[in-house]
Amino acid sequence: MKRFLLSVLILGSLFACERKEIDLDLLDDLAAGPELLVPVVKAKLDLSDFVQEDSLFTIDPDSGIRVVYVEDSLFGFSLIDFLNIPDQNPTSFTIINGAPDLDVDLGLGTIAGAELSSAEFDAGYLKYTVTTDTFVSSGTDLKLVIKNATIGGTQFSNTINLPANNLSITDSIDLSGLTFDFSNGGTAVNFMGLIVGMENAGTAKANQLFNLEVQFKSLIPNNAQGFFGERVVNIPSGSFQFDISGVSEFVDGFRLENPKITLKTRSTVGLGLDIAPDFDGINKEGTITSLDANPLIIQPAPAIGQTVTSDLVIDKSNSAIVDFLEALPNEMLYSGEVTLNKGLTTANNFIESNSTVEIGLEIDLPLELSAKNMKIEETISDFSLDAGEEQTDFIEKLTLYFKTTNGFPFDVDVNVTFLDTITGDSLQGVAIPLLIAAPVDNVGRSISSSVSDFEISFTSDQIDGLLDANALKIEAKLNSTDNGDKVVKMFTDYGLELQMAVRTKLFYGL
Amino acid sequence: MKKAFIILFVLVVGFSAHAQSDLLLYNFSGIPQNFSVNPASPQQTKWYISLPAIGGVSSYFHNSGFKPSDLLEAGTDVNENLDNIINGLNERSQITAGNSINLLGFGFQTKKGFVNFKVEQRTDVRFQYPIDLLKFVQSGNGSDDVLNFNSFNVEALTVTTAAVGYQHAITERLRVAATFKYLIGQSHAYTERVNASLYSSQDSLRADADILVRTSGVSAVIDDAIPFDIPSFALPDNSGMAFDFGIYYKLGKKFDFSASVLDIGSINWKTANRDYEIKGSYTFEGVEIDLGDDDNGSAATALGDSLSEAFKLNEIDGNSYSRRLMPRVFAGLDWNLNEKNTIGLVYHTRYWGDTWFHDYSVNYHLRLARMFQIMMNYSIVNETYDNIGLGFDLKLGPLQVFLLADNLYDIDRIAQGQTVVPDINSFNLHIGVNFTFYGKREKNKDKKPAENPVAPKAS
Repeated sequence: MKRFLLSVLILGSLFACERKEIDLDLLDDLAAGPELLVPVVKAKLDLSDFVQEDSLFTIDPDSGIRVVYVEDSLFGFSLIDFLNIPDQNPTSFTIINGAPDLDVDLGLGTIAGAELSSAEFDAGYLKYTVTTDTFVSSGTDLKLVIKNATIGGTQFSNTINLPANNLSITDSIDLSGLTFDFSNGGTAVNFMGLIVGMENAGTAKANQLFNLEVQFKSLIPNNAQGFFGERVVNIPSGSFQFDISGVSEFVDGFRLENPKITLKTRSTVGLGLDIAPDFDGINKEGTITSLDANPLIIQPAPAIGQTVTSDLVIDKSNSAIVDFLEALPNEMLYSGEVTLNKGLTTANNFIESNSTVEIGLEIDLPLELSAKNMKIEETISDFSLDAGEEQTDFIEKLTLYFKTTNGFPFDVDVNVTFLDTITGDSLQGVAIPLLIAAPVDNVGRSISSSVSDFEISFTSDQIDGLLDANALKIEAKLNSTDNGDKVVKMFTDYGLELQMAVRTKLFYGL
Repeated sequence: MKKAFIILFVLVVGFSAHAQSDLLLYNFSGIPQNFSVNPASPQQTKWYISLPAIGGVSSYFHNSGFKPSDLLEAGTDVNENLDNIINGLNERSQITAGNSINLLGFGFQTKKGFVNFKVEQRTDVRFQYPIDLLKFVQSGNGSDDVLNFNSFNVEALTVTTAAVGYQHAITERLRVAATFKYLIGQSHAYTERVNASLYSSQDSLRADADILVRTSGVSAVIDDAIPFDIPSFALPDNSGMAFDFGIYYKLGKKFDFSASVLDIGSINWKTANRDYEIKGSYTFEGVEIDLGDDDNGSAATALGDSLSEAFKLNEIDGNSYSRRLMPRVFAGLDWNLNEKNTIGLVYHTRYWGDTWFHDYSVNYHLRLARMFQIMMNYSIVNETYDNIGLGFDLKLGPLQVFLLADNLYDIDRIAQGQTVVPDINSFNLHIGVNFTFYGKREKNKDKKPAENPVAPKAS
């Protein structure tokens, strides 16, 4: 009996404990759900690092920043643009064999009332035609002298031959190097004095008539003096990219307070020019905005061989430059016109063959601005938090912590929209009041940094949207101090620090 | 991860194929292996010999952190179970495993005592749960400003012990004993210090680490420089000594008190030593980005480089060190109900990693005959409460066969060929064969209960 009881006791001890069934399949359900707090980003921006003095940025002695955009030679003019001698009308003379030479005064035909006192021509020719009604067996020579013109220092004198047994001949005389004294010794303008007559009559009959027709053509001046007339010359149209780093990223609301465009002119022409440039800007949306600048005057060079430079300033007093730049143009179109001797009836103009008027451009944008809902947009198209098919909702909670120290006089509010580019749906989003504008003094300079410390807790819908999104649209909106009402200036000693941390509760299968 | 978990699980449970039941063995004075836990324990044999290998093989495994059903009980939430397991861990939660094999043993009675000698090879592994690390994986750092990863210790050693002990009967009631052990260590590794912490805030994460792991003999394996000659391999120049002390006292006719203090000593580790040290601190405030710099793409690489530099693993060869053994203390009280039946209480404590680990046991000892006795016990082992042990010895002529084991819940299903995951915290087994000689049975003419029926009378 005792042994029986003992056996019962032993076996009972061994097997009496309740057996629990082990289910190894439960291992498939193993998951981890840690709550993590991780600082993610520690970012800083010192404007002095970002803005290095180079071809684009200029730093003033007080560390103020300006953007300076220079086009050394935007367009220009040369002699041919200012002085154009048209082909002269044909002039006919009747020369009688045996009669005295004819002394004829002609006037130079000009454009726009130009009154030349002298000129030298690089090219041109004198077309002539001789006709008679009776054959001359020996041939006949006529003479043509321009009293107030020389070539190589010698008075222009030429013999025109009518070959034997010809009733007419047409030919031309090269006028390259011809120098005219159109003033006739200081007494006239556009004066041309000609002497025509018989040089050698040969066997021509007495009183035989010879008709001589002459015409100055294709005269290309080398230099000239006088009054070039009042007329309009078109500015050659063109365009250039106005691509200023950073500024081009803004979408709207960017207003510079004191921008300035300076036309840098350099003239060796003794000619006053009234320039009316026409600048149009095209922004990313294709909107065209006109600068609407008033005409400007380019002074004449004081003397031959001297150069006059002018800085013609286009600012908010003589243009719509503030509005023009507020439209954020990234391409500039230019055209317009130049008026010579505007309003004048006389002037001592001069021009040389190498005379030019060159016009460059300097766009000077002191970063003195106000921003009202100025936007920057960026879309991240390859965004994904996909952790595999089995890990669909692995974020249970998500909180972002921000600490910022902002020395910039701008509020920055960021809106992040979660996008599904396949369906085109916007899947929630989150608004982040990222930076608080630093306060400024009366000249718009930051006087201290603004510190902010805040957190953004995502709702479950926002977390779902974030997990489902395949793209993020980030829209930052900037306002200068006092909600965009203050004009602020940018200095290189501005900076900011931004720290972001994430607290997230995850739940993912192991 | 899952596969790794299963592999770890199998490995851990695999250790349980071996076992040692020291709580059961402590009062099981019928076999001379009992000397290893109390050198003053009375022996009924006059002499014994334990042959190599068959003289005794033991292994043990103990996982105080959890048992399989705590995690994988059918119909429960495995993640809730995992939370409960991790939250239930404390500084005494550990996994221990080991085995020993008897190389030679013998002993004999003297006029007033007992002399014993043994040589054994032993391997022990102790692993304290990295609770903070597990909690970090489980819960993250979001709810704690400071996480300390200091509660982590690992130690493993393989040692050959040559022991000689002497038990002396001072009076009829009192016996004292001491054992001297000469130790030769084959390999060793332990965490000298693990000081690691993680400070978390919205501004920064700061990780500090001061970790030193000391090893001996391990670098030879890593460097593929194990000596091929057996003396150099088996008997490296890592020696030490230790002592066991025991006392046995009869409290009147019904009660016996005993106690022992074991493994008071150390080993000097000198051969193929290598220290692994990580000492550094790193503060992470986020990926540093300079918005004025167009090229911030290397920030992540720089972070990795900084971390590698801050927590560089240094390997230092040649530093010898001394490491004490894990001392243990037993105390037992037996209540001899009669000649055949005894109820005993055993308390056991061990000291490791600055922590005392406590075990308690109550046992029933039935001496059916001089040639056959059984013991069973219930133990609380390091805060685990479901440890049932059973042991017996059977003398067949000069052969004494013994087996002591714990936690055989599923042995019936295993015997039926079922594949089961043993649902246990601990599993111990001690099995062997001795040659023993008890001598002539002493007549007990008046049939009164013996004061100690199995212990040799002190003459």
